[in-house]
Amino acid sequence: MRHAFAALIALTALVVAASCAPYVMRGTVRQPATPVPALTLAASDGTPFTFAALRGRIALVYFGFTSCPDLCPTTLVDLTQVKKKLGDGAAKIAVAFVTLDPERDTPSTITRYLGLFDQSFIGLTGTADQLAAARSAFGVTATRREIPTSAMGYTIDHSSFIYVIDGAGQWCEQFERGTPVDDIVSDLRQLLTKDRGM
Amino acid sequence: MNARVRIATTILALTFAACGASTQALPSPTAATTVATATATPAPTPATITVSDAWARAGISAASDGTGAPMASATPGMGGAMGGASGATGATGNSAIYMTIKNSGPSADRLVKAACDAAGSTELHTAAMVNGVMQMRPVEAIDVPATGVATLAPGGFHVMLIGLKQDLKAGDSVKVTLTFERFGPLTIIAPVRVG
Repeated sequence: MRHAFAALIALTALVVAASCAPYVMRGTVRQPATPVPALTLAASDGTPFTFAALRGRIALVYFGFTSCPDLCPTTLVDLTQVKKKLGDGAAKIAVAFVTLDPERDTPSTITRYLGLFDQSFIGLTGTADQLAAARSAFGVTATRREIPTSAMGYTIDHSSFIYVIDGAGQWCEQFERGTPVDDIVSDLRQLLTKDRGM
Repeated sequence: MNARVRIATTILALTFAACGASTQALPSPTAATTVATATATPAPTPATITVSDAWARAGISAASDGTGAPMASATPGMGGAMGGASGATGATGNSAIYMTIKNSGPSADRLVKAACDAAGSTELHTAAMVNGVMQMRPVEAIDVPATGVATLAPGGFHVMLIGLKQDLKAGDSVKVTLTFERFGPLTIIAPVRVG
């Protein structure tokens, strides 16, 4: 009897502790968060773009190329799932795709490609210098690799992270390739709650 | 009454059939003889290849891009004037086909070629994360082990469609002819979906 009572106390303590424990972010949190780099890129309609334009929304930034048949579309499909699962919260999320292959990815190609996934995804390109500055600011690795044996001509070996910029323009977190959609959704819900005032 | 008798007879018949099947499966000399005579004509049975869960990823065709993508083929007369822009290299508008290939035969086989009318070129590729960097490379063949499975899935092996002739949209389907080293050609239909 005494044992049962002790067990009940222990269980209650556990439940209380769990409900009070602070939320642990599932992505890789940047300590401290840093302001999003002041970069100028080009939107797919040719107008200049800065990340300040997305202030007030959480921006998910991904670098890829439209000829990529495997990894890039897999990530973009995940991001469509993230938006679906967020429901109403999706209105506070912006997805930006920055090309790693401006040579082949014209603005219209990028727009049509993103349209396969979600019309609201923002396609970004720029001059070689602008894009190099963006890759360097986010620490993106991208190497053009010639493949003479393939009709592709060349491919781009690239790192694959989803970078998260919160509503206040702070680059606060990133997700590595293969992070489950539910983990991303969970972290974004947390950020949306925190940024309720934004 | 009659019905009950009929059911009983059926059950009895089924039981005997089942017995027959299991007898054949046993390595008893008589059963072996029966099997041998039944398939005596083609002496070595070829590896049996089947494909399931095939799908093609939705993709856009550069050819249907009305705004003039930097494609060499789109501006044949401009090559010299453009100074041979490197933008002409390779094709945009790609897709990938995924599937599970099952080999129920006793010999290993290899997928050595894929052909699809929907694209300018069809190749066998693999993708892999190497030190945090995603790399995609062509491969000569994809092994299908004896009584085993080869999986073509995102993040790994795929049939790569390069230079789509037209957009591939969810609901479309593509016909692909796979050629195996031992089994020979096998044509499949892969439905298109986004992911």
